[in-house]
Amino acid sequence: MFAKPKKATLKLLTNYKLTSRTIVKRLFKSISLTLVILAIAQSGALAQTVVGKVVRKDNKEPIIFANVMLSGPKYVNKSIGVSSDDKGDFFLTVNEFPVEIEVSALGFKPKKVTVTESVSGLVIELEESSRALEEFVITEEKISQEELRAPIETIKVNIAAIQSTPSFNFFDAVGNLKGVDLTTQSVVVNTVNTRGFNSSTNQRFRQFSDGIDNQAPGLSFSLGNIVGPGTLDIESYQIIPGPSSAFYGPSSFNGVLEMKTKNAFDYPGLTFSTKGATVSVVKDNSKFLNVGENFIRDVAARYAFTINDRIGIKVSAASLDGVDFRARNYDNFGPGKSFENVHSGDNQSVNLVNGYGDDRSAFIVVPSGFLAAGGEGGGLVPTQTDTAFTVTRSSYREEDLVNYDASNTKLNAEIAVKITPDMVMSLTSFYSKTDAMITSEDRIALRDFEVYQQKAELQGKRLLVRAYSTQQDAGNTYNVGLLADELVQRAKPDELWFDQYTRLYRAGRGVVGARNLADSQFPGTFFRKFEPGTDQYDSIRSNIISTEITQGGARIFDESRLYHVEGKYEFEDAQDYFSKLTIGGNYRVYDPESAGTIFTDTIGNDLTNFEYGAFVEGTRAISAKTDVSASLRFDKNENFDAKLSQRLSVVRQKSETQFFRASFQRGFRFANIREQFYNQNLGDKTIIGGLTEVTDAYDLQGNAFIQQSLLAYQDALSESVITDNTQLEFAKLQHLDVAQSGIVGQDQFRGLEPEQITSFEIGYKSLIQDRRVFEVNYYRNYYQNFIGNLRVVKPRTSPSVDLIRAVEQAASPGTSEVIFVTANSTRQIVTQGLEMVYDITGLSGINFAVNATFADIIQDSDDPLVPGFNTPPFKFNVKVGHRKISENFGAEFTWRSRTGFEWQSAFADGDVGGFSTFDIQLTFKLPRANSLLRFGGNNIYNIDQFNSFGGPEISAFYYVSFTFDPFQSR
Amino acid sequence: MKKSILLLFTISLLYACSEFEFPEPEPQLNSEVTADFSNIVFIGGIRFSGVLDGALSSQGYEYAVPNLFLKESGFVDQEAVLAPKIISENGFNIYTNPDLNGTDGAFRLFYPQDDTLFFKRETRLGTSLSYENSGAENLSVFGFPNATLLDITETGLSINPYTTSFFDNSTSILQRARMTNPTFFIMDLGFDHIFDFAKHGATGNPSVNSIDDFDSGDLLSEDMFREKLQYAVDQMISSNPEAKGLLFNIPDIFRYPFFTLMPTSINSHAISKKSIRWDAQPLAISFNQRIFDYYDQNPLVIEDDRRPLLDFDGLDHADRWGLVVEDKKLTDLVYNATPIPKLKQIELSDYVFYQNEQLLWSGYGSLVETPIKEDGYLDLDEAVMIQEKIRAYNAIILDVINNSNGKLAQVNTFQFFEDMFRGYNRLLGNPTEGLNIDGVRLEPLISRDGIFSGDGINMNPVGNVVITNRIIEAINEHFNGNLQKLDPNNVPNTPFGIGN
Repeated sequence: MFAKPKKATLKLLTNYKLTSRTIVKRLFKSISLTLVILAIAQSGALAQTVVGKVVRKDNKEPIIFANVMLSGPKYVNKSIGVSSDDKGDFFLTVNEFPVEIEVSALGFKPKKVTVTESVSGLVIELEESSRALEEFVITEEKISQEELRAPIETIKVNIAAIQSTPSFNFFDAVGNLKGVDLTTQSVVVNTVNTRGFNSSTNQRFRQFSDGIDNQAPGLSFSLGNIVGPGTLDIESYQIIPGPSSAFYGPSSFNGVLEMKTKNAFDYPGLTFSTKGATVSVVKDNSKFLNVGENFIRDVAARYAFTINDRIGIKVSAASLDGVDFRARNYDNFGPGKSFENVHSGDNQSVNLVNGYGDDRSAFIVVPSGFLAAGGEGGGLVPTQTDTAFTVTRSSYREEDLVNYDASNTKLNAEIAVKITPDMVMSLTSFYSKTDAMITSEDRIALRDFEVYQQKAELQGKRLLVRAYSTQQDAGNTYNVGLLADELVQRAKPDELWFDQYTRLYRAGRGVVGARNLADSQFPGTFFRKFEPGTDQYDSIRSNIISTEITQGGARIFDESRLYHVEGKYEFEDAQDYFSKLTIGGNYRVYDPESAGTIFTDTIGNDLTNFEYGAFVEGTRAISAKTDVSASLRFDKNENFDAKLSQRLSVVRQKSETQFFRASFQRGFRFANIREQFYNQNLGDKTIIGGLTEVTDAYDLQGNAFIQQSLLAYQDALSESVITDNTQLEFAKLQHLDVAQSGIVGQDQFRGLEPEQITSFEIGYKSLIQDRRVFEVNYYRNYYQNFIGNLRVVKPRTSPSVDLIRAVEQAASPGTSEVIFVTANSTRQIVTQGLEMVYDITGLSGINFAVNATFADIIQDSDDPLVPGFNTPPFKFNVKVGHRKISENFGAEFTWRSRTGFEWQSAFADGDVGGFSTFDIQLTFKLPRANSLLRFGGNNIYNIDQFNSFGGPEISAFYYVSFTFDPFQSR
Repeated sequence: MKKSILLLFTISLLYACSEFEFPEPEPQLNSEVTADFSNIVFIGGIRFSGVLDGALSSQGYEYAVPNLFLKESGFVDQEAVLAPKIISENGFNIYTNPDLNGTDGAFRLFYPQDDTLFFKRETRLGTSLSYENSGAENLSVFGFPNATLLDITETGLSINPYTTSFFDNSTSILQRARMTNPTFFIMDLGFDHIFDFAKHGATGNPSVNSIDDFDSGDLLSEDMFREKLQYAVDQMISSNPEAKGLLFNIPDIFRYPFFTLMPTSINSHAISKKSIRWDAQPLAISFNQRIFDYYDQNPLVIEDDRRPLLDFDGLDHADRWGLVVEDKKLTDLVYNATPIPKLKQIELSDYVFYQNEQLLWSGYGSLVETPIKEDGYLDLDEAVMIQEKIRAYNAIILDVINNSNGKLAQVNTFQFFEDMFRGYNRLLGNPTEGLNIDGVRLEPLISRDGIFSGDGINMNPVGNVVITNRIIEAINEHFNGNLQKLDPNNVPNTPFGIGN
């Protein structure tokens, strides 16, 4: 029965040239066949039940809403079970006997019971207690002894918390956790990060679904949860903030998000849900409680069953479609006032945040005497100094370039076989197809963007062997910024437009006259701006988005792949010395396939990149109250020397429920595929990787300026008194050394070094009276060889050949090229942060939690590298909730507050304003219908909310969700 | 089951461990090139000689058209010395050093000073004329300043001082080039004739028919030009019947800043320099008075035959301020036994050589006592005559090419400069369209974006690259080549200084 899937998997692994469409067709066939066969076999998979009642030991009164959960090693961090009803009765379905059941309720000592066969009259008595037993889960919201004693900070969220959190889907709720930055790019794409250096292309944070690295191989970052588990299939997730590269590998610098799905053995049955949300797309509509005028639909189903408790099969699917959030910030973030969004006599340098094609400006200096001699200023009144000003072209607004339809279809299938009671072999596939807007180095319209992941895994008690691949197909994805730039260039190239404008202005035509003529067809072979809404515009736009970037269009070709194999083993006989000893290793190959549209993989230059690593980690209790953990990891990348990562941590128990923690870690991060091989023309700039194979092709040494010094030169020129040409030339010479100091040196861009982090962290964690968790920790990270972008400008003429001419050319988009080069910072960058959590659950069950985060970066002001810290200095989350206000009703409210911060990215730099939003969810259980009904809203007061500069505005979002679970499998 | 798992793991591992390399891009060769470029020879005058800012210099050598073409296109090694070479930063000025003596070097330009109108030009200290490889036999470039067609074809003519300082005159330049057995030759024969004639103010013989009658500043008749040009071509082809070549035609030299940079109206100069106006007007009145006096004595001379007067009526407005020049074609007038100088004011259509600009501030060209000399300007008739000669020479060049059975092709520098000057109107002051290379506007001027060096006649490195690209275009078009054009934006331009 399983021979066919395995052969298919083998074939895919060895024949990677199969297209993703072929693979998806096979996946569909496989799923359909499986469903048919197993629906027939379902009759043999009858459920077994435990029916009982929970009562007080003293007076035998029923205990309502007690948790009756499956317990034991198999169920660690899982939440499988039911609640007793208002009479203390419960009904629990199990797959096998014997089974251990753990019963808990607030104010009572938890109790474990082993059941060996189906039973219908089980009575479980709980003893009242003011404190809980040791080494026991106190409540499902609170914290386990294991977590208290953990050498690293982890934030775990189980299924119950997921269901009660006010968010349209579980992934959006990650942003409520301590220290987490969530960058919303789309209705379906959120990017998660912790500990700073946040971005929409978060490359220092890793995300896993059932052990599969979620990153899209061609992007080197995870596109939110577009291919991960759906709400019906998620079992739990945990975030590990901060560097954990010693365990998770060299890219885990900022943190890790691990998501686990429900397996078929523990969560059999059929589940179905449908959700709907309204969202407002009317620009600047910030009215209170804005219901919105557009609709988002989400339908999901999950079906899982077992055969003879040896074979588990699971299929889940989810489909979301509707409208996307819109990025419509049309403020001018160029020189001048923000409201000056149209070129005028007063401002020739309009640069709209979400208008594209106007991103690069030309810097023009004309002596003030020029105007006095007869030139028309067109509104630009010469100052006493000069007439230095910048000029941009007219842009296209994002809403004229894209449609904002969004969709995300996800399929997931898994076949698992228990080889032995402790060893499971599984084959898993994830597939997704997405239409959404994202922000990478530019705004990107994902269209028919497909990701296919397949995994083979052998999981034993101590052994883990896992192999998987991720394949993506960009489909009809296109670069929106480049689309705008192409529209602008096809009307008249920058090379001519800026030349004409400058010449016309200097000929006395004034800024308005110069612009009008430069915008015209003159000298007859060009076009006026293609106006949106016209047939001509539609035709040219269609042509551009269907033409690949390398052919002069904006379409991105990306069929990149990632192959990964890893293994891990926990030694049993090492426990005499170590309480825990784990060794492991991994090997992965990246196979970027972009046909030159993203990487340097042009014809005849097929790229691949492999890396491998191995680690050993051990924990030893040096005393009854002190644990020491140490890990050592070796990593090697094809293009970098081998590196060793180390981590040492000490946990000291102060009292029974109070722990101090201190850790030191040194880790490395190899430049990812993008940072190595990037070679993408974005219209207004080109972004390139840092390998010498890439940078050498641009011949930057001695031929380009660091942009920072060029801007300083232009500032100096602007402040000079210039009344005639001689003074202008004199001023140029006088300040030339400023620009000259920024000429790219011969020792620059000679390859990349791995980024290094040295991290110190101390923390305190305590559980008070079983109901209050207090946690505080401070970290300080030291980054060496930080990998970021160094922005350079390469004029047509090398500054080594003719400095003045080079400086003049570097000031205009028509005669120079802006290149963002991936490079190491030569200076040390330091970040630090303080995080605090206070979480209390009252005896009535009401939960109040607050977390606060402070983050800071320390960087030399003259360091030209742009790190992009992009993190609010202060984040503050408050949650108030009660899952069982009554038997069938729960509610939760969250308030999130962020202070404003500076955003730096390849897309745009600017200030992101602070905001505070309020989310709410009301949850109703419908026991007779085996259903759950949720009403909720995010940002319910409809406050203007941006969490990245240039990103979409996140408007109010109100939703209704209905979940049908006839087998009570949740 | 376990074997299958092991197989899966092994296959994954084997794939992951595969070696991958960056393949080297293969050079693209064009196998259908119809000429043999294994031995290329350049023969010509100043345009191949490496004159930059008026001087033969190290930089001029480096950025000379032949050097750029041969080395940047990869035909010879970068270190190869294939042309007469001067090793001197400032070089030897071919315009200001009299009779090859002196050490004036290249011109240096400055933005306008108090004593100049448009920009200031001075001469650096250079070196005496000394070719580093004098007498070298194995050259690929036979280009010398002012080398006319006869300097190339004839043996022992000894007119051109640069050829004679490099070679003895036992063998003609043409024969020396022929002895290198070229497979491809590029000739520029004719430009130096035209320019030499023009810069002498068209004072030479415009139609010489005999070598014996030829002197510096003369022009060959059309017949003789055709005869010598055909002879030169035949000589190159006769040594190697498979040899092919390119011939440069002659641009309209009145497009060159040497002739056009000086505006005929210098109103702003005259307005700003009161002292010149106050000095000039009484002198002009006195001069005119002598002419009046002469015609008073000779009243029968009809009005149309009378000499023009100097008109400085626009004393304060200076809107009719014409420069004073000598004109030997004016009628001889002797008054009171004293000849009246043959002076006139130039008209808008006349050309004054730009080198005179440096002297205007001192009253040169404004005062009767210091008129611009005959060889310092060209009037319209002379210019028209020279332009007709250019067209005639170019027709002959094209004829020779057309009769070569495809062995020859043209480097059309005439058309190139016509294109560069599109939009230009000298009288209305409209600028040229120039040439837009990757957004960088190149102007046919002496300027930071110009293609001319400081002497106004020779190209700067940018201009030489642009000319080299015309060679490449001709080869690609006519001989099915696939040579890549050079980037004119990545070579130095004419530098300008601030202050003295």
